[in-house]
Amino acid sequence: MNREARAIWAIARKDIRVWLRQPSAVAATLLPAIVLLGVLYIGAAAVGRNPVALVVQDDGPRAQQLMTQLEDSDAFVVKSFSTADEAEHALETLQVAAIITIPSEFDAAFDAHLPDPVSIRINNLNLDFTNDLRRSLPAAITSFYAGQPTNPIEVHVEETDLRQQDIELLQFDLVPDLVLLLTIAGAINAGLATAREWEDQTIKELLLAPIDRRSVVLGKFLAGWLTTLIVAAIVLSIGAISGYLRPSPSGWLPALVSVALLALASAGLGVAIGATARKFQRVAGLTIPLAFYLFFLSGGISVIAFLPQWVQTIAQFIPTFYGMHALQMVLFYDSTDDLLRDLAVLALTAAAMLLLGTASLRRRLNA
Amino acid sequence: MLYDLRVIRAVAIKDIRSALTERLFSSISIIVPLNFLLLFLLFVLTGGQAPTAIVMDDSGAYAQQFVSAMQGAHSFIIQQTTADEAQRLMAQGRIVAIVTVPADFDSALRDGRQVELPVLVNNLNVDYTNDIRRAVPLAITSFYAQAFPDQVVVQAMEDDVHSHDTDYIQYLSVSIVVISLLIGGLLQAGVSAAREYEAGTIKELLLAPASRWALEVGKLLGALALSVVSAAVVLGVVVLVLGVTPLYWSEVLGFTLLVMLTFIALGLLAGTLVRRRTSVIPLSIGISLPVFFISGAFGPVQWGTPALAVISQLQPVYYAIAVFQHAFHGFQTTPFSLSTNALVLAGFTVVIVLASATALRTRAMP
Repeated sequence: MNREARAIWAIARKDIRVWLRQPSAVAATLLPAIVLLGVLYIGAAAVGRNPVALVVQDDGPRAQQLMTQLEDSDAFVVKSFSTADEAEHALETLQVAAIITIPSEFDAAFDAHLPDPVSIRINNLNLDFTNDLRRSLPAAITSFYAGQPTNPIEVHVEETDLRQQDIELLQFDLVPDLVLLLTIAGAINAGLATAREWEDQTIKELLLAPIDRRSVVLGKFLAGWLTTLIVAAIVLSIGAISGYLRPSPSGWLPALVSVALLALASAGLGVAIGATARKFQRVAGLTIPLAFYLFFLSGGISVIAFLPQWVQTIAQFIPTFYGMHALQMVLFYDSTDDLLRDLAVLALTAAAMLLLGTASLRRRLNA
Repeated sequence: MLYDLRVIRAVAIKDIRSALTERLFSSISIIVPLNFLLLFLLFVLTGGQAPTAIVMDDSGAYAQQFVSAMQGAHSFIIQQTTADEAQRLMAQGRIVAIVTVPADFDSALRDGRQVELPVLVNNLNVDYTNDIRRAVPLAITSFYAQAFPDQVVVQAMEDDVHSHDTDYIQYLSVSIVVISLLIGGLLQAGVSAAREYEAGTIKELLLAPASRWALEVGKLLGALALSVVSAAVVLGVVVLVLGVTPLYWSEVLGFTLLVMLTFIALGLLAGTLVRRRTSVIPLSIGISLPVFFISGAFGPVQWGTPALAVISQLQPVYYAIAVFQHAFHGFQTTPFSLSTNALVLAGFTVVIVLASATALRTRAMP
């Protein structure tokens, strides 16, 4: 190994060791992604099940069938009350979000083919909860009719799915979370490692060392990239063992290339920020919000089609959007849809970030 | 007493001046809370309604009525397209479902024959896919209730507690104000406290003939003055840009002050315990996000899991969100009255200030 290669490796190894010895740096790398995962888990567990009070004033068979549909519905957590007053009290004290009342003449009206309203009184605090409830009662009525021996509804859904399998929400969210982790890990570690040289004033030693300045730049990139890859390897290993992130044999290569390119791009960004900011707190203050912006704007929290048109347009210009797309396709659907496009964008971004990082660091080193 | 007041004033001014010398960080501490507001608004923009293309191979009256029923289902963002255009939109990822109304839709219904309704779903994940799987039958039932009222007689009849619906952004932006105040308070006060340890100036402060109380209050007021800017910016964006006008301005001003004091005291405690500025930033964000999510930011926590409801009541953000939702919208989001929520919040402030002063005393010892 020649002297420059040894110097590059020494700088990278030193940065990685310093990172491992600083719990705050490790925490800053891992915490945002772990917290987001926890938040998504809480969100996924709470999706769409609102507590409702159910008052059944008719003990006929139809009313009991509808009551069973409501109790079995995955949209409600039903709390039964014997009187309307008790249910009203539960609504006022926020024990429930709505009251559903099956009226006393429900069966009679149903059998006579007369209008047969089921009332729902909603605490319409915000449209998210309110619309869930507005959807859920008609959905239960639909199930009620489907269970009738003479179902009058003649229109039947003929569903075709685009993908071979459905993916659970939490599993689906793991990929954006992995991309966020790679962005933060690369940017913050490379950024802190670069800024540290100025904070600790060790930049003097580096500049006075008998090595080429390109070796300093390359050493910094290598450290940021390897640190990020270590984090990615741990996450991917856990994902593969648990089955949550396990591509087909042919999907491993594009998955690893996507991860490597994302890690390289974020390390380049980190070096650029570190050389410009030169202070720990500035680096942390800049990179974490930046990573979250990239995450949200590339549709990390959702399926991109559900976002407003202007966000969808912006997402086309965010490289992490292509990283998420490539990883979701190969990890979940064994698909190569737009894979070349995605990898090309990631490679170009990595090259651009390396150039940006090199320019920023060389400018500082030569200043 | 007069001496203590002079100490308080001196410590507050010193902290403000120290913070202002670090201009980039001062800017960040204003921008970060604003960032959270913007980021969470992006989160909110994720609609619950599925972008769906309808291909109308039949333009009869029943087919039109069916489209109206889909539009009224609170589940779809609908665009009518040709089959080719729908496929193109699906390939681009701009829609998640294609519903095709077949050519014999009207005639089959008139003749009492069965109709198969083709639905192509981009089943990316179960959550969104199940929404569509539930919503299409729902639209069909609603359509029947309108088109054949003597056949489908059971209908939902809605009655609302509040006179008007509140948009999700309007609701959530108020909760986001609270997390912005939390982040701002933790950052400003946490960094201010940690700076004393990093620079070694904590020794001078503790050796000075001043009471720990005066030092604590001085730091509290210094951070409060610095946090006012970010709080004003966030409130300004919510009121002026998002158009969320408070119902009770006096409550907004009073509760903003109370909530800021609580969170700044929390920041002082965190900074005193952590003693490193580099740790304060990730810690502030790391604490704020999960606390925000379990505090009823999206709606009353009582509507979630019972364990979460109990946990959330053990920390101040829960009460802070409750008083702000009342100030802006007049909503009650906890089982407690407004004055109870405010009193509990004030109690938290006192306890946290006490804990912070105790930490200053104990952490000063070797």
